[in-house]
Order: sequence, then C-alpha cells, then structure tokens
Amino acid sequence: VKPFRLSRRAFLRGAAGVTIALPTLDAMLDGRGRLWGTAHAQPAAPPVRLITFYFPCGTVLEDWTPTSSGPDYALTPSLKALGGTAEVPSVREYVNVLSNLRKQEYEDGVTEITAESHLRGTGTFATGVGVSPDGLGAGGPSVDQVAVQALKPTTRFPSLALALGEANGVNLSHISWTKARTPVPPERSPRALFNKLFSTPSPGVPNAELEALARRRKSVLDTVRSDLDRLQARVGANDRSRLEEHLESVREIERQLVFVPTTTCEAPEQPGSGLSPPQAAKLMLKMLTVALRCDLTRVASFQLFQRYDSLRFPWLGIDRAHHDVSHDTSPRGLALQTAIVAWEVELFAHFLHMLRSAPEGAGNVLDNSLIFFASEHSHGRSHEYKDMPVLLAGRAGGQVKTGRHIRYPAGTPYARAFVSLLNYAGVPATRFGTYGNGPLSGLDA
Amino acid sequence: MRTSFRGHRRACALLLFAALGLAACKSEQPGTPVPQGPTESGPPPDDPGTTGNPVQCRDVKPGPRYSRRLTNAEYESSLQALTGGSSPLVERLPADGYAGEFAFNNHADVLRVSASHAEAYALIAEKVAADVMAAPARRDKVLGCSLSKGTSATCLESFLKSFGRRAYRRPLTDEELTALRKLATAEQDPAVGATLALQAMLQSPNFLYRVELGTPDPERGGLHKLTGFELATRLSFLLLGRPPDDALLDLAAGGGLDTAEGVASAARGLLAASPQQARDSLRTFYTQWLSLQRLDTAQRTPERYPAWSPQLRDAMREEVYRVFDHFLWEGQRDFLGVLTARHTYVNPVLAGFYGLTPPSPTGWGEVRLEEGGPRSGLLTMAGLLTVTADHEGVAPILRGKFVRMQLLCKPPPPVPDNVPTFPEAVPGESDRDRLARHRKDPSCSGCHNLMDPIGFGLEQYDAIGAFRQKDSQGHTLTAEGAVQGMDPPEFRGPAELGQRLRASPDTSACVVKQVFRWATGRYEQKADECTLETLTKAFRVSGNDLPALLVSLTASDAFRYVDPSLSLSQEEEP
Repeated sequence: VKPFRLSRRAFLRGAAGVTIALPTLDAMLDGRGRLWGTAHAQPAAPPVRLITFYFPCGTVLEDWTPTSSGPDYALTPSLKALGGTAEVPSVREYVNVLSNLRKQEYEDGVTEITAESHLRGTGTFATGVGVSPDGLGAGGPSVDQVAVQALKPTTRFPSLALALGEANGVNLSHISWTKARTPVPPERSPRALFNKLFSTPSPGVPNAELEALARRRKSVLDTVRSDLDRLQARVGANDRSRLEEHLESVREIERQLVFVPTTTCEAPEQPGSGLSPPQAAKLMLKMLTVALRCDLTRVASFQLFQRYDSLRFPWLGIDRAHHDVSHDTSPRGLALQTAIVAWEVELFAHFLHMLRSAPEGAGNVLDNSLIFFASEHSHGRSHEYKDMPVLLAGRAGGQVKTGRHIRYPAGTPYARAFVSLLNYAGVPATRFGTYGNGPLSGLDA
Repeated sequence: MRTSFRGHRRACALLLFAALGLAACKSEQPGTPVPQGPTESGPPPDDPGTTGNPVQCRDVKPGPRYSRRLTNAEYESSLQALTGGSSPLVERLPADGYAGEFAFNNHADVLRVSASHAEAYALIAEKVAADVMAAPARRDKVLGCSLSKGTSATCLESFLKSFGRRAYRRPLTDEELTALRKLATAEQDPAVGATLALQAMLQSPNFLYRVELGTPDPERGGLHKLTGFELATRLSFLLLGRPPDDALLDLAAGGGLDTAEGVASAARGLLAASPQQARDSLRTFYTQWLSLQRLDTAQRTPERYPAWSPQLRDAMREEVYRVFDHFLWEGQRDFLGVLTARHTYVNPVLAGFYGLTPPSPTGWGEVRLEEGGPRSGLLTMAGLLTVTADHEGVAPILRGKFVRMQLLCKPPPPVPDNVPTFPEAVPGESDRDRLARHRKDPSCSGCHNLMDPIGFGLEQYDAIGAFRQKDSQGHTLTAEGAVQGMDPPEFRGPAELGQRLRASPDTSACVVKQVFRWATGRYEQKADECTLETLTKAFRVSGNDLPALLVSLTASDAFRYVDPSLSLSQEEEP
C-alpha cells in the first residue's frame, strides 16, 4: 500500500498560495487524533456525502416491496442481503426502504425518438424532468450535479462518476448530468478509477516542486483558454455550445491539477486484470469509499451496468442477459430476475458496510452519507414507473432516521427524494424537477 | 396525437428490442411528423432520391459548417505523427460513444470535451512532452533544432512555427505565436519553456478539433469554401486516419487544393502512397458499419457453444478483414462482391469451425467455397452472425434488423413503448412459430414483418455462426425468408439473399449513405440529397469501387464547401 497525498486544498492563486480552511476529517488527524499541522483550525461537523447508485431493468416488485411498514418489516427476497450475508453483517439499520414513489417525469418528453422506455427510464434516473425530446440526452441536471453546482465543493474532484459494464447510447450510459444533454462521463473500470484517484501527483515529490508544477500548469491552461476564447469568437452556431462546454471543463480541471496536497491518504492496491464483474464492482466501490473517506470528493454516482449490457451472470448460475431475464414472466424467469436484483442489493450492502467500517469523528462515513439506490423502472417486465423501487441509506450526519420501510401515499412524486437529498446535503432547495414539490416526509431524525 | 401514440405504445407487444437499440414498433401513419437529424433511437427515415420520389438533382449542395473534435483514434494517430510516440495515459480518455443508432463513433454532436477529457488531454500532454524532452534524439527531431546555448531563442521560434503548423494543421497566427512565445520565455530554462509550449499546443482546440471555418466565396452566395489547409485535414483523416503531413500542408499552402481536380488528384496520391493506412482507415468504417467491435465483448458459454474461444473470435474478425480488403483493394474492386463471395480466408481454427480443409497448417490462406455449401459471403461469416445474435431466441429479429438498417438503410419504424411481454415459448415450439405467434398481434406485425422474415433466412446459423440444419430442439430449419418490398419478397438462405441484396439498387445507395455518414460524422440532411444521388450513380458506374467513391466524394462540392446557414442537428426545410 503506497501512501497518497490527500487533496487538502491549498490552491494557488497567482504566485502566492492561499489555503482554505477545511472541516476536520480523520484523514487529517495524526495518530493521536490531533489535527495535522493546522493548530488553529476549528473542528467542524464532517460533510454530508451524496451518492446515487443505479441498477438496470427494474425489479419484480412482488419480491421487492416489504408487506409491512415501519422498523420491523420483514425482508423480502430481493432485499434479504440488507439483513446480512456471509461476508457482511446486517446494514438494515442504516437503510430506509421507500415505496409508492411515482416517477411521472418518465412519461414526459416522449417523442417517437425517445419512445424506447429504458432510454427514458435511465435518462430520468435522477433528473426529475423528462428526457430531451431529441433523444440526445437527459432533460436537465441530475441531483448530484445540482448539489455540486450549489455547494461548489473545494475537494480535488467536485464529483466522481463511476460505471461498470458496456456503454451504449448517451441516455442509457449515463446517470450524472451537469445540464440537459451534457453527461458526466464515468470511469468505467477499476484501473481507470485508480489512475484518476491515486496516480497523480507522484508520491514523494517535494512541495516546492509541486508548487512549481502547479504554477506551470496554470500558465499552460491559461494559454489553452485564450485559444478557446479566440476560436469561440470565430465559429458558428453549430459549435458554440460544445466549445463553451470545453471551456468549462478546462476551468474545472484547473482546480484539480493546480493544487498542492499537504497530507496523505492510503491508496488501495493497484487493480489487477481479469477481474470478474463482481470483483470489479467491489473494487470500484472500495476506491470510492477511500475517496469519500479522504475527502477527495463528496459527491458520486455509480451506474451498475445498463439495459443493453450483454453481460451474463455466471456467478449466479444465470447464463442470460439482464434485460432478457427481466421480460421473462415465467415463474423461473421471475425467480432469475429476483436473484439478479438480490445480488445487486448485496453489492449495495457491501458498499454500505465499507462506508460503515470507515471511522470518522464519533461515528463513521456511512453516518455522514446519503446513498440513493434505484433502477429505471419499477416492474422490469412492464416498464412501470408508479411505484419505484428505492432505497435510501445513510444518516446524513444524524439528520435522517433509518432502518424503516416507509410507504408513501400513492402518487407521491419520486423527485421529492431529490429535494430531501439536497436539503440534507445543505442545499436549501424547495423543488426539484417537474414534480418534486417539496421534500419527502418521515425521514427526519 | 400524443394520446393515440401512447395508446399504441401500450398495445404493441414487442420484445426487445432493442438489443441493437431497436427502439419501437410503431406503424407509420400518414401525417406523423418524421424526426430528423441525429437521434438516440433512430436515423432519419428514408432514402430520398434512390427509390420512389425522383429528386430534381441539378446542383450538389454543401452541408452544414461545424468543427469536430478528433476521435480518440485520430487523436492518438496525431500524437504519434507529431511526437513519434503516445502514452499509456490515453486509456484515461473516455471512450468515444455511439449516438443512438448512428453506426459510427464519430458523430459530431457526441464528440465533446468533458472534464474527464480535459484532464486526460492535460496529463497526456505533460507526459508526452516530458518523454520527448528526456530523449535527446527525439527532442531534436520534434523541435526541429537543438536548444543549445546561444541558439535557443531561434530554435524556440522555429519550433513554434514548424511544430505549430503540423499540430494545428495550418500556419499559426501572429497572435497565437505571441501567446506561445510568452508562455515559453517566462521560464528561465528554454527546455522548460519549449515543454510548456508543447503542452499548450497539444491541448489547444486548434489541435483537438478539426476546425473548419472556410472563407466566404463571393461567387457562391452564402457558401464558404474550405481553405486548402482545412481540405488537407479532411482528406488525410478521411483517407488515412491521420493528420496531414508536411508535404500535404505544403501542397495546400501552394494552392494545390484550390480546385476540385487538385483535391481529387491529392486524394488519389494519398491512397497510392500509403496503402496500408488507407486499408486501416476503411477498416474503421466497415468494422463500425457491421458493429464488428461487438465481437470484443461477445460472451458465449462453453456449455452451449463449446467451439467458442478467444482464438475463434479473433479468426472471425480476421476473416472479415481479409475478405473486405480483397473486395476493396484487389482486382475489380467490386465492393458489393462481399455479399456473394465465392472464396474466403481461413486459418486452421476457422477452417475447423467451418468444416473446411485448412489451406495452410499454421497460417491464413484462401479457400474456394463450394456452390450450395453453407458459406457464401458476408451474410454467412461467423463474425457477423455472432454480433447479430447477442440475445437468446431473437437472433432472427436482430439479423433482420441488421439487414434493414445497415444494408438497405430502411430502418423499421420506431419501437413502441411498454412492451408488455414477449410470448413465452410453449414447450417444443420453434423460434419460428413463437415469433409468428408474436406477429399475430397487429400492433407488432407492422415492424416485425419487416425484420423477422429476413432473419429467418439465416436461421441455419446459431449464435456463433455455426451451421446447423436443426435447432436445439430438433426442429428442421428451412431458411425460408422474405424481404418486404423486394420483388418477389421470398428467398431461401443467405446465398440467395446475398445475391438479391447485391442486385438491389437500395443496397448500393445504402453503402454510399453509410460511407457519407462516416465521412461527415453526421446524418444526411435534405441538402445532401443531390450529393448522395450523384455519388451513388458514380459508385454504380465504377462497378462499386469504394476507394473510387471516396475520391469522388472528395472532389465534390459537398466536400469542398460548407453552408454556414445550415444547422448541424436539424433538418432545414427549403
């Protein structure tokens, strides 16, 4: 395990470095719990982390939704991993099962081009608005990026997007959108994620050199920006928005590349090759856990496969693709679909357990997180959207009471969940998307 | 309108559809607006000018004006050409995506620069610049001079001008030179200064995009004529997949690309001078046209497909390459010959799989294909049959869709939504009977009649393209198929289908259209009708010579001019 310098931001502004105060994180405490090198900094509450987690092709709702509500609900076949597995102790006390949420926006933006329902289901995963009617993307920003835009986190990465599986089409292969039609491309392999998080800067480089590096990077990027400005002034309407997006991207990476890390964080082992999908997923979620714990980022999304994945499930003994199974309404087909969903929930439980195992302040990272887990449809077989399968995990720093099944009145807007997510993360939103007319009730601790 | 549309979506029980992104099964209704332009789920519907409505084709009209980001492949080949190397960091670039059913990963609207791209470009530029400067021989080659004491200022200046011209594919403006000079000379060490200038050029939009602005042509109304440098760039990336070299830039600077004949002559020259790169470039075209890249991720279980192996998969891909290379570049250059080929190329692995005698005990060799035997041309190649059979039990639909979309350019109508359920297989029922039952639903038959019967003509090939006469349950497979719209529709087996497709004017028009999409990185628009019609005629007259088609394209006004009044993504009504 090699040490990795944590991005405790010390951004360079011109020639002089300006250090911005940070909340206290365990990663910055020395072995005796003392704040590393900043004697005068005030301890503050750990930040709330916001994560969205997608799984494809819906569920068999009969096998998903608990029959009773409240804290003593019986775990269903799809959710049984929440109660503990061979590898992971129970996480159900950290999870709320939310039922009866209606994703009306799925029915908006329907044109002949966007008739394909998975495209719309995935495109409305976390945006609260119908997809772009021209089929070229989501109809608005996703909740994670709205949080980034409001909170303007000063972490090294404003957010991280992760995905596993094949890419296929803009709407189907992204769940994180900075604005309509502008997806955040995810890191699609453990190796890519490792490189992004842990390969730069090289450990052991003295700070003076890093400062020189930062200054030079800034000069180079300034030159690139003026090139972009000059070009922008000459091109026609067909190119303007793409160049504007490019310019925004350069601004964003300037922040990532122009900093001097001042403390260290343990990087996981470099990923090997030939990983099975479950191994790859666990490894990516492990790296995400490290990134959240070390405050490399506070906002993330994880897309576990997508509807067109040709992937089979040999580790479950299922030699069929997910989507194929999801439309098989024979008893065996339904059982297979539930087995796949149960595995996906197991992976989710594994992730929650890793977050819980990372101590922070008086609790752990899971205490200070909110993780939204859902699919693009409710029933996979019929592409329903009126009772979305949603899990909401983590306590947002003690703001959320967990461990329950909450059954909302029929028709409660799905996008209300995003108002709640934003509020708990510190964004004073009152609405989200077309139908999210307030936060969800019943979550407050 | 919306209500009835949604009602229709509900009613239609369609399966999948979408394994290739097939999105919906709506019957065409009169008066339904037709979506145009690039879409997530469907290209613009049909082919003007080659069937049905005759087009009054007098002037070839140029298309919209836009600048495209380099694809990752173009970016890497540019790095290689400019610096003599690349970096493993290129794997940090997000893969180029596919826009809906657009077969190629170079659609202009999808080639964007996200933060992940910008970060990767920055890190790659740093690494490549550091590598260049660390190796004295490579450094002097890239700089074009030596940064020794006393001459470093002159060397820096000539480096900015000469390297800059290759990187931006045109001479730098004074303003650009001033900015780079300022960046470089702010450093005390001239080597560091050169490094930073190199990094900045490798991240400049003038390098990362194929910038096309053109200059107004007073004789051609509002049209812009592309500059010689812009044409050099178009030519080189299209024909060779790499940026223009110094010789081509010199030709452009001397006015050699100012006329149609000059451009065509340069195109012929590039193809003749770099045959291997020309082959590789067209390989990109047909690989994506056939979705052959899906072979890389195809999965088959050994229990069901014991013959499946990485070696077999590689051989399937190589067979397509060799057959296509033959019909593209050798002999008569009759590209449509791939549909009816009477010979193929095999190695021992593929020969064993096909039941042929390997012509060579170790390597690849040509074999004649027996008349009436199971192999004859593209439609019987295991690679194609594999990538069009990714989902159990529905290969006929996917294969029928492939033929419609990629070979005939007559996509089925969009798929409706809320596919309830595909009919479950009754024990003992064949795929043919099960899909026929599905097509009894009138709301499904509309598009499935267009697809399934084509695919059944290929039913004697399983999901990895192995020949069989009975399915796994013992049903006899007849290979009887039909293509709606052909006269007569009925055919039996891929050999006959291949001959019928080869003879159909729709097929040659479709090939031209696919090449046009790949070459322009966009869907065709109304303004392109005459261009396509003219090119299609030329293609047929040449005996389906596809390299010659590329040369015809480069000489046309559609290649040499742009129309700034046209929108990239919207159809402009005349």
